[in-house]
This record gives sequence, structure tokens and C-alpha cells, in this order.
Amino acid sequence: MVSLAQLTADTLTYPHPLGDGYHLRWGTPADADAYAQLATGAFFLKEEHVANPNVAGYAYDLLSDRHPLCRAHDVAVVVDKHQRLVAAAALMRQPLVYQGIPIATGRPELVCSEATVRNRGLIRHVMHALHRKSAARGDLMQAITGIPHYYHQFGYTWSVDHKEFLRIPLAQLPALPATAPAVTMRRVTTADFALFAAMYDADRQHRGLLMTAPYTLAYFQHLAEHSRSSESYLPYLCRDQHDQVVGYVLLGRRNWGGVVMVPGFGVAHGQHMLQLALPMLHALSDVLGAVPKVLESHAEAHTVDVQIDGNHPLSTICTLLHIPQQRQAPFQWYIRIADVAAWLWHIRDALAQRLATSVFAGYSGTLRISTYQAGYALTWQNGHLTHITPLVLPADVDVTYPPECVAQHVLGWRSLAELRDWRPDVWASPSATPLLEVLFPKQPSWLLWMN
Amino acid sequence: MMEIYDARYCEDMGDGHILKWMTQPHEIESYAALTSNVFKTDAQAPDNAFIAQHSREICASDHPLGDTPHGAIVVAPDDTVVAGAVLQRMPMDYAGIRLHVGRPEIIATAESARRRGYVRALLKLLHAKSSARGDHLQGITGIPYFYQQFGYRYAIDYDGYATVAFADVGPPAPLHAITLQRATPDDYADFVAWYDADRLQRGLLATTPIDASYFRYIMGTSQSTHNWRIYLALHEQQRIGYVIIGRANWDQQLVVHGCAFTRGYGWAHTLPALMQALAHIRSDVVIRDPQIHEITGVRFILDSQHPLFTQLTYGVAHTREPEYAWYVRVADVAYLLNTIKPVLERRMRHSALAGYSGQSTWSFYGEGVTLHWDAGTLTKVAQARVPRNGEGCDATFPPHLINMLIFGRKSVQEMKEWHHEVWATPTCKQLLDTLFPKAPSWFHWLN
Repeated sequence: MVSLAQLTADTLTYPHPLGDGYHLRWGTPADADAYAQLATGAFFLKEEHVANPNVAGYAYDLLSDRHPLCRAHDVAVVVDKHQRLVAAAALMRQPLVYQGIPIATGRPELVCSEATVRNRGLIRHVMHALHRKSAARGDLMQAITGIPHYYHQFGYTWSVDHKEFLRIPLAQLPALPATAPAVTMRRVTTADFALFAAMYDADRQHRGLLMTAPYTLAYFQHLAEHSRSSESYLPYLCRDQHDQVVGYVLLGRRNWGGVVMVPGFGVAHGQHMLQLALPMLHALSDVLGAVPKVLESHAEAHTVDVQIDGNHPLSTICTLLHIPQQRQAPFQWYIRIADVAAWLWHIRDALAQRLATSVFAGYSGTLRISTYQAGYALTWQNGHLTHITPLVLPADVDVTYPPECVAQHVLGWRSLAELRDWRPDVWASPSATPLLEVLFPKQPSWLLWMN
Repeated sequence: MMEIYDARYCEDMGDGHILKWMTQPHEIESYAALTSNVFKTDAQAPDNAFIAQHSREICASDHPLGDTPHGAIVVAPDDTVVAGAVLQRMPMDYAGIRLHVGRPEIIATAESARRRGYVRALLKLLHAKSSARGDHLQGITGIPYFYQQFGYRYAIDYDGYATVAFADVGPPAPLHAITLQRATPDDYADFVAWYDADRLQRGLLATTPIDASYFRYIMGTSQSTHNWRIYLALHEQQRIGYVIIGRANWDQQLVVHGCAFTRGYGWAHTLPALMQALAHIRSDVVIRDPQIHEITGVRFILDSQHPLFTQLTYGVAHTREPEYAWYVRVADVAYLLNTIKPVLERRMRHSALAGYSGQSTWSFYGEGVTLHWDAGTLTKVAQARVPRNGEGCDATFPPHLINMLIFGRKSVQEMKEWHHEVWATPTCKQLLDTLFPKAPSWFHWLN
């Protein structure tokens, strides 16, 4: 096998030999069917003992060159000496806004390899190629939702909650009161983008969320008209008896064992979720039957998993209205920030805003940060970050984080005190502590998959 | 082939440097010289004679926590020690079960010999020796972050800190005044009665038992400023409790490492009296730092649950600092669980799972362990070969993270909120919650 060092030395030449007849190259649309076939086998359903048909359309989409968040040349593929595709992963662009600031984020996705070629380090080469491409195109971070534990070896740490949801069996919904609005649902068309975006953007901007995922027209159109993937979800508009749009729902495109995902659930400006939640949940019953089953043996759809990341109000409403539900703990996004200084510099306006509304308004000084492996001096003048310079360690610093804790703090997932309690090797001087608490407050996020 | 814990073991580290066990008096002296240089307070400061003295004491044959050979060293071609560490014995009381802890300590590398992997090599020897002598775990309170790479995780509470100035506490009511009398080697029985009551009756999980030999050593033989002095507290000529004090200063404070009084002497009354009594004995404290001229207050380094910390919140000016934690390494989880079996069975007996029978396999992503229960009795604990990603197991934990659970620092739920790979079936989660309830510890240094 070729070592990573060798690959790094000549990383821009593809196809790149990996030894034993394997080559790494970037994908083309002609690889789409092979990637789909590889994915169905790699994500084999052990319980049902069948290949996973669910990921085929997704893989095809990613390599079709029609996905607005992933072009064919964003997919790294490994082929064997017979040019058979044996491992692959896509580098999607994950739309992400951090307190109003877009952050270019790469998302390795559908990482898979054929069972017969595992334990040869092929995925390490694939991830390395994706990381280099991500850096080259200007991504400031990478995010992945994948196999627990596995991605730590590539510099990822759990840093953002993801997919906490309420599991609601629709048959057990309380009956609708006679006075409740009569809500119906309709799948969107491209023409509905402005209407949908207004509701979705209000939802993500008015709930005190730190990071959210904005929709673009191109992605919306892809979902509404082109996507084959059953891993994505479709926006639906909710209308009342006067044909007025009162809300929206993002509805998963697959029924897995009777359960359908609902990653988004919001109401239009001027509408009240307390009034509309129950009618909207009832309306879901009418459209659930049309969601395809992953396997024919699966049950008819009877339950929805409504995603409640970022303190979604449905959680409280279910309690108020006695809607039976079971809360499911969140999954988490793995995050990798390779260049901490560049990342901090990019969000400097957000940091200035936080300082301006705090006791540190007008702050001037230097904050010296160590990650035990690298150091940074952040210089502030009149409440603005003016430059970041590297610090040679060992040096006197104001705060130390283990490398894996940086993203957990700056992405608002954990407070400084929580980090310190969990990892006593997080340390901040008494004077730096309140400044750090202002700069990086704990704050929830709602970072949707954009599949 | 010679085992690496054999006192004769040595290994070529390249460039004429040899890894070996420290067995010779001149090696101990060279190691002491190394520590005195490495642990200087700053580059311009003179060598640290206090740590050199402490290094010699730990390596002396009469140290009750020492072992032979005392530690591991890397020697240069000129026979000077350029890196070294000792392995102390630390007794631990885990809910009534005595555990043996190996404590790598005074780990030092000459500046010119760093980044050559010497500490990794030293720890390899110390871990092997610790394991060979039957230690259940290793514990370190050392450089933050550094020791994670050797399989250590922050798993046991390590003391809370509060600083109080003498000037900020008013005098006690005359009726409550106490005096402190330095204990003698013969006062062990009185001391240990109060000390054991203090550590055993406050719901603490892991504590430090102090036996007579160690007590007599520090009250008689030891000259190290890294050790304690123990005082008995007197009220109206009656002994009412104990106070453990560090022999040396910490900045402008004297350090209290332990204190408790007979029932009836509540902290509301005794705190002012204790502060006054401590002010009276402050001249006993060795001031190691020439820049410090006066002891102006007390630094309490006690377990985070100590009632004194609560008392401070009622009108006493003080500063608090976050707790640290012990790094813990458990190389053989099955061995540890087998040893604490009576505790696990007791917890099971008093839980909703009383009478439980079944088998439970836990994956640590590479290694695993299986517990067999029969009617509430833990019949077998064994290391298990498990699939790489824990498929089919009843619970999964990232490597070494279970240390936090076993030592009560975090619950399964808390671990899950931080590490998505922490997972358990509903039955196993109940089992884990039952076997390993979250509990504070007070496990302090014995030097």
C-alpha cells in the first residue's frame, strides 16, 4: 500500500496509485450506477439480511452531476485493477450559517467500501483526498454524521447535536377539536420556493439558534423535481380551510419500518404553532401512506419522528396538548476544524457583536489560546478582532483546550464550565474565563442534513 | 526472554542511551539532581532542593509506599539520568474494597532529552511493573492532556479548591476557640478514628486509607516538604478532631488537605475557630518560594462535597477554583470488576434488579468484557473478544471511557451526551446505572 505521506507529496495527480492495483480518482457520472451498487452492498441490512436499496438513489444522485451540493468530481472513488469501483465517498457542500455568517463546510458522505477490500486503509486515503479538496476549495470545516467512534481517527469530534426527535404514533393523536383549523398538505413545486423559504428562514432565525442550514433555490428545485434519493425529504405546504398557507413540513421520502422522518415542522408568520400543531400532525396521516417503504416487508407508515433540534417548540406543545410521544436522544455531528485561526477570523463579526452587547464592549487586549498542539494570539482593539498570530508553544497562554474540545466550545455545543467539568485539561485564567463565556456562549443549533 | 519488569531489564534507546530500572544509589542521586533541575520554579531559579529531597525519600528503602526497584530511568552514555519516574503504591478504598493503585510520579526529562519518546518508554516499564505486582489501576495527577496518550482518562474526582484570607474571617466566639497540637507517631489511633469517619460516612466512593506505617513515617521520618503535618484539634483540652496541613506554602497560603471534628462541632462555629488556630501555627509552614514573605490565608484542598465548602457560601469571602481529576488507567477491566465484585453484588441486591440473572457484554471498541450473573451473584467476569464496532454487544464505550463510570465520576447518560458511541440496550443501561451510580470521591495524594 502507498503511504499517506506519499499521497500527500503527489496528491493532485489522479488517478493516484494506492498499490496492489488500486487507484484513487475523482468520480464521473459514468460511475453513478457502480456507486449505487457499492452503497447498497456496503450498507447491507443485517437484520433483514438484504442489500440496502435505500441508499442506491442517494449514491446515484451524488454522482449524477445534477446534485447542487455535490458534483461528480466531488466524489472520490477507488477502483481495483479491473476498474471496478470498490470504495468511494462524496464531499458534499453542507449549507451552514453561523449567527448570520455563511461558513463553507464540506460534508463527507456515503462513505463506503466493499467488504472484501476493507482493512487496507482505502478509506483513509479517500478521507485524506476529501480533506485536501475541501481545504483547496476554501471550506473552513468538515461535518459528518457517520459510524460512531470511527471518524475520530480523522480528526473529527462530536460537536453539534443532531436529530433529536419526538416519536409520535399518529393513531394515538388526540382527536381534533371541532374548532380546530382543517389543515391539508400539498407537496411543493419549484414555484413555491419563496413561500417556503420565508417560513423556513423565519423558523431558523427566530428560535435563538446558532447554526442553521439555509435552503437555496437550486437545492429546493432539486428536491422538488429531480432527486431520486430516498435519503432526502420533501417540503410540503400546509393549508387551512381558506386555502391559506399556514405552515410547512419537511417529510422524509422513505418509510422505515412504519416510521417516517419529519425533519422540519414550522408555521407561517402570524400563525401559532400551539393552534396548528395538532391539525398538522393529523394532516400528516393523509400523506404518510404515499411515502414508499424501504422494504416491502416493512409495516405501513404509522408513526412520525419529528426532529426537534434547537429547542423546537413542539416538545412543549406535546406536553400541553397531551400528545403521546417518546423523546429520542440526539445523534451528533462529527466536526473537524483543521485551521482554527482561519475559522475564528471568518466569524470575527459575530464575535464583535457578542462583545458589543456584553461587559466587554470596546475590549482591547490579547487572548492567547493553546490547543496543546498549536497556539494562537487573538488581538482585539475596541471590541474588534484585528489579527490572529500563531504562538510558538510552550508559551504563557490564557486558555488551553485539548484539540478535540475547540469545536465543542466555539460551536456553542458546550459551555466553558461544562467542558472544564468533563475535561479538566480545559483551563482558562480567571480573567479570560468571562471573556470566553461572552465570545462562545452555549447555544443550540439546528443543522439539517441536506441530502 | 526477560520480562520488562525484571530489575535487570534494559533497552537500547539509541545514541548510547539506555532504558533501565533504577537500582543503584548513584542512579537515585542522579535522578534527584534531574528532578531538581526540571522542576525549577523558573529558568533563572536555583535548582529545586525540595523536590530533590522528596525524590530521594521516595526512593529510600524505608518509604512505606516505595518499591524495589524504585523507578525507571533513561541514562546517557556518561551515566547521568536524563529521564526518570518512580512508581509509588497508593492504597485506595473503593466502597469498602481495598484496591491497589500504581502511581507514576515525579516524571522528569532533561530539556535536552525531550521529544525522543523517553516518557513513553518509562511508562511502559512502570505499567508493566504495576500490572505484574497486581495493581488494579494506575493513577496520575499530572500535566493536563499529556497522559491521555498512554491510556489514561480523567476518571476520579480530585479535590476542590477554596482560598480564604485570615483577615476575612472574624474571631470565633470564646466558647468555640480551638487550638491545634502537632500529632506524634503515637497518635495514630485517635487520628485514624476521626479520619476514617470523615472519609467513610459522607457517601464518598474512592478514598485514601492511611495505615499506621505511613502515618508514623510522615510524622517521624519524612523531611520532605511535599508531605503533610497532621494536627489534632483541641477544645478546652479535649481532642475534638484532626487537621491535615501541607508542610509547605502554596503562594501566600498554608494548605489544608483534610479536617473534621467530632459530631456537635458544626462548621458554622468551627470555621472561624479553625482559621484562628491555623493563623497561630502558620510559622510551622516551610516557605519554599523566596518571593513569599508571609502566610496570609488558607487554601482548602478538599473533596468537592466537603461541608466546609458549603459553609464558605454563608458570608465568608473566598475564591473557588474548578476541580481537577485523577487520570486513571485500567489495563484489565475484568480484573478490576472481579475485585469489586462484592460491591457490585451489594448494589445489585439493593436495586430494582435484585436477583438478576443474565449475561452482559460491553465493547470498548477493540476489547471487551462479559459479566455473567446468576440470581444476583456475579459468577464470572472475563475479557471478551468483541466485533470491532461492538456489533451484538449490550453496551459500547470508547476505549478507556468506562473508567469514568466505574469510579462514579459520570453517569451513562452523561457519557452518552458527550460521546455518541456510548450506547446500551435498555436492560444494560439499567444494569450499568445500578452497578455504577454516580458518586463523589476523595482520593488524595500520599507522598
